[in-house]
Amino acid sequence: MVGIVIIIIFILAGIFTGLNVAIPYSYSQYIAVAILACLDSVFGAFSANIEKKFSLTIFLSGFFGNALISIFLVYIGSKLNVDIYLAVVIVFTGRLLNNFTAIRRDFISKIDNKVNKKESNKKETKTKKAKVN
Amino acid sequence: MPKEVDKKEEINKTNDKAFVKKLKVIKEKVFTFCKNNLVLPYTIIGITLFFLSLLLAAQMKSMSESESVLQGKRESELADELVTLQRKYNDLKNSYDENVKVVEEYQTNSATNNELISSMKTQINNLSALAGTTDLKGEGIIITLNDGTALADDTVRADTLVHDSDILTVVNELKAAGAEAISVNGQRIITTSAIRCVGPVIQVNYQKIAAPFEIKAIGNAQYLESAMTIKNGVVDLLSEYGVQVTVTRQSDIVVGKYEGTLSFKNAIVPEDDE
Repeated sequence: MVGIVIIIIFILAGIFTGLNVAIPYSYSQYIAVAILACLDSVFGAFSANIEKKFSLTIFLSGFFGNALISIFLVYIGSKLNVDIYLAVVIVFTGRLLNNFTAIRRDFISKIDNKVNKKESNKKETKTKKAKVN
Repeated sequence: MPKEVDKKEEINKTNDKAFVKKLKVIKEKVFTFCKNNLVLPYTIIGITLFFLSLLLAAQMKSMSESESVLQGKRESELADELVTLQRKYNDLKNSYDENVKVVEEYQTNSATNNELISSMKTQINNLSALAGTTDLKGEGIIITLNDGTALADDTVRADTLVHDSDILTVVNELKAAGAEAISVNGQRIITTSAIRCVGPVIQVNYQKIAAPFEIKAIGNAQYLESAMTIKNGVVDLLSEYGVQVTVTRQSDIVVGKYEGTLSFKNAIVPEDDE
């Protein structure tokens, strides 16, 4: 609970400061790519947490490293007149969706397990009652 | 007396010790709380999410502010260029209108009989006469050049045609003889005029003209005529080639003004150091 509160406080602070920051239009492409990279690593962290492989250093390095490298690639693409940002967007959105499917599957399987347990409990009680009767 | 002082000091010391102990206990409690609730890793994750949400909010805000019509960097650059060009165009048009008004004022304000204005007006007239932006009249000569018919023997047909170089030499000779205003088929020869060959026709002032060519020149008619018809002069040379040349003196010739806009793009009048 404490962790979630801390995270929510940080996110709210980020949104508040972000609303007071103006990004020039010519940099918006770089920022968009960086956002995608960061979102990808956050979702990656969730899916890694499900498999119990989450490590803070890997998360941090991925978060900042991916963002910086993708910005660098987009910059090189603009210099070479190649739309590399398209490739970056495709790769990161693909990874994002993969991570999301992993999270979704885990979540649904957990719910299914709970439902099954309840049903089995009910059946057991029913059978017990029947035996008693 | 000294005993009491010692007691007080002891009390103070004990109080300090108790305070330090309390602090230590609180510190330990905080540390254990942090360790149990994983505060450090969560704050690190929180800081990263802080950056993410900052970028997201800033991007969304700046995107909603910018016009939705302009999508993509290149289009936006083009739009900027368009706007700047339109602004430049408007500025130039305004300055042009102002200048035209000023010129009109100079020209029409003669009613005030101001000496300055009248002197300026004469200056403008002189300058425009020199520049070729007004009609001029005076004594001079008219030279007509026409393609000659092919001679009986097999001289080359091309020689009998009037070439751009022929007109150029005639104009050059006229200038050398003191002609003050020259026109070729109505095209006034000014400082920027070029005479050149463009396929079957000749271009003067970027206007196409064709034979017969009528070259009007204002100046001392006698000098001009003699400069043309001097032995081994231009007329002799051209008629030798088979070009039909006629030179007529007239006491009243009208040379038309230059039709077009005159403006220098690169040449600048240097400012005086006075």
